Amino acid sequence: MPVTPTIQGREYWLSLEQLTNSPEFEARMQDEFQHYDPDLISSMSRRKFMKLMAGSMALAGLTLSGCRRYPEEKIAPFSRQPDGRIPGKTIPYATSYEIGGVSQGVLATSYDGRPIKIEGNALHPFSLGATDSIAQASVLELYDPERSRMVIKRAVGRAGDEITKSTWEAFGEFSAKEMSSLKAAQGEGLAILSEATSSITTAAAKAKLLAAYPKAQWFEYEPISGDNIGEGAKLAFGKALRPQLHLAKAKIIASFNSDLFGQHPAKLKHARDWATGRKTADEGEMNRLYVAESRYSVTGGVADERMGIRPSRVEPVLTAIAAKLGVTGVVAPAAPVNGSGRGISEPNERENRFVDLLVADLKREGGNSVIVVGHMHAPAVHALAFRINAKLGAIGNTITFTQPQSEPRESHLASIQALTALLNDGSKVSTLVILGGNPVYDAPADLKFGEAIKRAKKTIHLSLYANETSQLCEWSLPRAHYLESWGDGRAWDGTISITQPLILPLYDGKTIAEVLAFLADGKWTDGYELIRGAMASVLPKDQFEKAWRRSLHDGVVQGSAAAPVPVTTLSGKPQDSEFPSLLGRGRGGSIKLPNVAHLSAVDPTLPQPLPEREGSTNLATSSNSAAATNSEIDARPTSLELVFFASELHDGRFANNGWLQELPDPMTKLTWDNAALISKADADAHSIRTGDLITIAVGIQKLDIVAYIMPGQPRGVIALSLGYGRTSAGHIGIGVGFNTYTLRTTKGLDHATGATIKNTGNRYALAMTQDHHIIDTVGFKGREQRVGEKGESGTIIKEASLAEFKKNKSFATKDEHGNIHLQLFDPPQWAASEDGHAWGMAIDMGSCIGCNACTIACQAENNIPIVGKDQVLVNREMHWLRLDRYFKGSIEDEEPQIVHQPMMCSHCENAPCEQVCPVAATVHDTEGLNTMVYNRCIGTRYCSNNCPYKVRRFNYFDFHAKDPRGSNYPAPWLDMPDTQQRESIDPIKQMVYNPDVTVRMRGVMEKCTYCTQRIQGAKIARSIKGEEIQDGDVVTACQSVCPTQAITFGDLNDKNSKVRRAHDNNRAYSVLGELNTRPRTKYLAKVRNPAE
Amino acid sequence: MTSIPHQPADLPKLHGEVDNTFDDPRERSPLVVGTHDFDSVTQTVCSIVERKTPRAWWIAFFIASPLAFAFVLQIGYLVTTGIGLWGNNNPVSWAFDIVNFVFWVGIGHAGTLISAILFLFRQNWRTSINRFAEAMTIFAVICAGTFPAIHVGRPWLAYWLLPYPNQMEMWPQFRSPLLWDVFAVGTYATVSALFWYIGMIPDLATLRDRATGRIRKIAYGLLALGWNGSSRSWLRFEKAYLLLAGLATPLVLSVHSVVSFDFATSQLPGWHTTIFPPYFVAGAVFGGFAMVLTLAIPARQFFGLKDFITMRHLENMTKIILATGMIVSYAYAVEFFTAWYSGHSYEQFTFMNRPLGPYWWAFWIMFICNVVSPQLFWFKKCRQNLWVIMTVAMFINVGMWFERFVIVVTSLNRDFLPSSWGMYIPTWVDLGMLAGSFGLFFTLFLLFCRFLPMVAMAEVKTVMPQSHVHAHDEHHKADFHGDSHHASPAASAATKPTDEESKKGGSQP
Repeated sequence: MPVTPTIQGREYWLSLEQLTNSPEFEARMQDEFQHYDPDLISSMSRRKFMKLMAGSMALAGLTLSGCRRYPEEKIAPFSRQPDGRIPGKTIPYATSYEIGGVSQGVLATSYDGRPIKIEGNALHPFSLGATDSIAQASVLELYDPERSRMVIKRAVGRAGDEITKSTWEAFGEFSAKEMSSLKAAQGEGLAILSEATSSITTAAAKAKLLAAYPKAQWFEYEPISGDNIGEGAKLAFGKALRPQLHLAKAKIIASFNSDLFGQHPAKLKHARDWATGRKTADEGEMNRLYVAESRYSVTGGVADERMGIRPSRVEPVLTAIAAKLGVTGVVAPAAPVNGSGRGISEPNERENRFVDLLVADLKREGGNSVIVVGHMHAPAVHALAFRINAKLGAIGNTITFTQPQSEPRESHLASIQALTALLNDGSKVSTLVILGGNPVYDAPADLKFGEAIKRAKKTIHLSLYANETSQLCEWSLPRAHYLESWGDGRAWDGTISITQPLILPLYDGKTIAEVLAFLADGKWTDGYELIRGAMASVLPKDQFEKAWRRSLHDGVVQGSAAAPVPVTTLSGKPQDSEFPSLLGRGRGGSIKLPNVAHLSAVDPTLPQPLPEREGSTNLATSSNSAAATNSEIDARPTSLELVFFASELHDGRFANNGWLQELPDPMTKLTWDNAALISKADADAHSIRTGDLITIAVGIQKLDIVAYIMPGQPRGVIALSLGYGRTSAGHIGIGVGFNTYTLRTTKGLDHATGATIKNTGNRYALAMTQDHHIIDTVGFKGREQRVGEKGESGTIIKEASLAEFKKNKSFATKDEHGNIHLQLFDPPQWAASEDGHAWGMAIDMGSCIGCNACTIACQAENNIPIVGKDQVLVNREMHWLRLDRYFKGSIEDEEPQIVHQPMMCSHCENAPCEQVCPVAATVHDTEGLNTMVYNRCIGTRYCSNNCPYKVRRFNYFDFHAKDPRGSNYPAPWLDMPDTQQRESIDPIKQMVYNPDVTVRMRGVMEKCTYCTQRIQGAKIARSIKGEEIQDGDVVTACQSVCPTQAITFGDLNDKNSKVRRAHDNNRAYSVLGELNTRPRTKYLAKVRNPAE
Repeated sequence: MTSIPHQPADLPKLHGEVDNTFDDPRERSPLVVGTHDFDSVTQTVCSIVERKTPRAWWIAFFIASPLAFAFVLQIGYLVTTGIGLWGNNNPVSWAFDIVNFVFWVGIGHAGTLISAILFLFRQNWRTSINRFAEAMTIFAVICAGTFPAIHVGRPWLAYWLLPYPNQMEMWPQFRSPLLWDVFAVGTYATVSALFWYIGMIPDLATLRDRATGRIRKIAYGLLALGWNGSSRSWLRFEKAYLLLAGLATPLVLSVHSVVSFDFATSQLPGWHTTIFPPYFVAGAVFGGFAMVLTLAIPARQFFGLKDFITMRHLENMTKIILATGMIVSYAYAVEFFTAWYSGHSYEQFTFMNRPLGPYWWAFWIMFICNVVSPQLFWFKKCRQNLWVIMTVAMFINVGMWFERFVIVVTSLNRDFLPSSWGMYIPTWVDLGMLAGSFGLFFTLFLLFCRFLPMVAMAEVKTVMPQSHVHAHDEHHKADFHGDSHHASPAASAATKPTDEESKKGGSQP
């Protein structure tokens, strides 16, 4: 209420304003404390708070992220929230990534604009909802702060010396100059080496470039390639075709060194199809898998009949099979010529047994069988296998052929050889553009590509990392990660898979297609424009937008799979050629096959094959060259064969990925290293123990590598995994393991002969997650009793043959104790009421292949840290889900069996861990979850001691903050321990964390939660709609990636749920159930289908 | 003060010492030898504290205290870095931390056993050794208590083990044996400390009265709580002492029983066994007496206490060691028998794994030290040879540490699933902290020797013949009622009893 001063007496005025009594004056008089701002003194007003916060956020953002490109930078707040977008709610996007020219479909989960998890794309024909470990680990790669972060320019010829940070603009200027001079020469001197890609966007950009520079030369190289398969098809059918396996239809599957489920590009589909034929075990019918292989692979691990075999013996064995099946023109290998051991073309006893069993089965099943040969084998071996398949009538049923979508090309080996020759020719290459790949590291050692590359005048390398090749290139350009890129690729059957970005490139990377397009026309075209342009040729013109949106949504262009090509085996006499069929040679009897295709020379630069020699076995000695000349070496008693195979790091490109480095090899359980896998017999012959450093020599190549005695490794073969021993990979990957590429030559790319080994006498520490130490007699006996003898049940592994299973359906529970549930004290039945949920899991060991996908899916989902080799050496690995691998049979046994048992928290109803925790940090919830309250845990570790499954994991250090390759003893942290992670982990790395899962600090126990966050998510999603949760709503991380769907999860109170049915299955048993722990996870006993 | 000759002239000599270990049915062996009267007892014991610090003490102290300091530093390192500094790992989640804890708790047994149980059983020979045995107990419990507190992953939250009102409204989880441990060890430490202190009050008063320096006067004065030696004081003192002895006695049995529950209530083969409580108690007494001997023999040598800690004491202790050693051996055997008899394959495996598995050496060290070495004490010659006693005591100290190592580590390293088997290898921090805990123990013990009365003077005087002079004084000789029915500590140097008092020393109720 305004107060008008009533003036009494004489008026004194102080100012004119007062005299006039102006409104301003009035107002000012009202305001007793003119500069008093109640907001300022009493409390922060909402507006002021917002102002200050906005200001400080902006400043903080500017100062902190000034040197780093956060994705937030370009994200503007939505002025209008898009439909359906809820902050904090994850959204899956379909995308795909490409390895070796084969695209894998995935769903990337985006959380507020950052991808945090990869799932399988159920719509993709080669994902079917599953993924592999590499896909799971790719998010870690995305957020790797050591990725190539900027354009780098190196002083020519003095690589590694003068490195200057540069920009895309600077590169643009350089390339404009360079390309214009090349243009004048029509591209003469321009060579492009690309990694294999099936992208039509890239193909379009490539076409554009080659049109502008017609004399430019294009090369393509992948260290691990299936070229031999296509060549084999060419031999058999006259066309380079790609075989498509339909294993679901196959009753008999025979694999010769083909790791169908472990490393084949179509492994996910293969595994799923194979599992389809395993799960019928309950109905008394199963497929049968024969595996003859030169190293124990994932596929061999689940084989019903497995035989370790020298790679050079594969062809004789296949020939024997072909002869027995009556494949036209194939005659069984003759008996040894002189019994001196050189006549090894005759299958030996073990091989004969294998052949006889297989042939009997093949004859019975005919077209419902399939024979597959691994890519290491020469084209002729593939051709033979195709011919056997044809004879069986399998073609069109269990195996079909498609035309590879890319244009015909020379093999990768030939390509890199040609490029090297061109480079070595001096001035032939003025500009070398390397798109992806790492040929300096992974090209055949005898090419000395690292030397050759220096002869190119200008070198440009587009790469995700500054790898060995980048170090020798003038320009290294950062490549965009697939999660940052627009692109596409073709799946194994040709289905076009779309790659869409979920985040702007963190480090300003570009895709191969973008760089190609830039080189072609000198200006940057957005990847989005490029792919839409390329897709215009694929999608219907009239409904392009609709079809595009559909494809983008699905991640695949529906119906784009290549149609099966009808094939007929070639017949006719092989012409007299410079390249005779391998089948005709070395047979002692020297029988020529009448209807083997004429072999076109794969590589004219190779030496002419030697004249035939009686009893020599120079068969299939090299993968890409069909002939080899080292049979003399082969005959020496110490001579060994080498096989090379991809590791968990694939060809080495994932070397800086800590998740993959620490992922135990499915067979050796080795982390952070690769080893030379050697048989017990060979090891004894050279007095080698596991952990000894040995020297392997083949030709002039030599390598010191650690030995690992692998049960089931065939005699005379050493298996070497690729991808280790990187010298320029980043902090994680440098110097891990041994670079086996140094033994890999053009003559023995995937398989080399004539190797010798020598024990150096030095020891090397191998970090295995199982069998850390040599098992003594007592331990061995104890293990055997628990695991069981070959083909039999132990106390923790239950297994039977199909025949036994049919006789005794309840073999898995036959020696269980009586009703242990009758106790004096009966603990409460958790969630016993029918209306509550009782979460449970079932794991079918019959279909688990031990592929590791679940382990790493769990790691990605649950923010599980890696610990580093030193910590694995002291058994501190943190994987919540481990794959227990047990051998069955003694170490001397040439054919031990392997069984994989995924092991994670069983959520015991009567949990031993809960009873002993002094602070109630691990407790049961009403739905039967054994929950772990991290912030209550003080870390007594008593729960772990009392856990019979030893599935609890303890943070001995702050493993998230600890450098996995740093000291065994990290530096003390003198601040509040709770803040260590926030303050010491690279902010980019922090982005990979799943926000739904706590990042555990040091000193707390952790373990599998049954993905409790996913359970809650599913419940919330249902409750929003006012619905009850349905079976299948909750999918755990491990379950969702499993290629064979071996894991089932759900509500045990729901009588119709899958998991309940699995628990009621005859094969279901509780591991260590006799301890009355009442685990919620049950295992379905393994049923093998041996031939006898 | 009347000096009564009480040394039987015919006592034999043994290695230059008086042999009071014989049992002559005609008379009791003396508990204190030499020509001691009350005054000389006071003089002997107090002079240790009052005279100049001997060089040997300094040498010992300069060995022990840096170790103790290193222990503190290592704890700091551990807390700021994480317990990954130890070799503990996934199957072997407990290792040196808990081994050391159980070891030290075990050592802490003998003191209270000697002071409380032997007190209640009127084993008066205990008086000479009970003081420092109790001190040893307290210090051992301090060492023991350190380990559980720092062995947790987040030691700054270890107080969550205590039941205290909090904003989380959380109680500890009462089903957990670790929680019982907290109570058992906490109670034991408290009662032992009280018992030790209360028993020391009259002697502290003596020191106070004899003190020359001001600081000493004040310090001992505060500690003596105004003791004036009046009958009222003695009356209260005796009641309190008796009550505490009664209270401490069950604790002796309970504390290690409860510690053994940590293992016994779990379901791990090798841990899950009902024999553990008595086995652990026997083992603790066994190990505790060995440690008393380890301390007593040098102490009596250096501080001239041979007259009080006589050969008879030593021999009695070796007999207890022999008896408890046999119990422990029996327990070992029964464990194996039970494993076989149970038909439990995992249990059987564990017991095969102990002597033959990767930690076979630990088992055999334990076996030789704990089962074989005490057998020497069947022979009187060995019981009377200080070198033999000392050596066997050392063996037992080692053996008892390894017993805990065998129980903890070899059970954990190979349990149910072979996939999770793993070896434990100690790191330098593990070894350093074991050494550090010994450093702490000996530092505290040396300080005790230097500043507190090592022998319970007041109590020793009660078992001297002078206390038992009958009023009629008919016997010329004192009777050597070692098990005096007069429960009164009749003498205190602080209030030197008059002849009369001393003569009717036993007349108090």
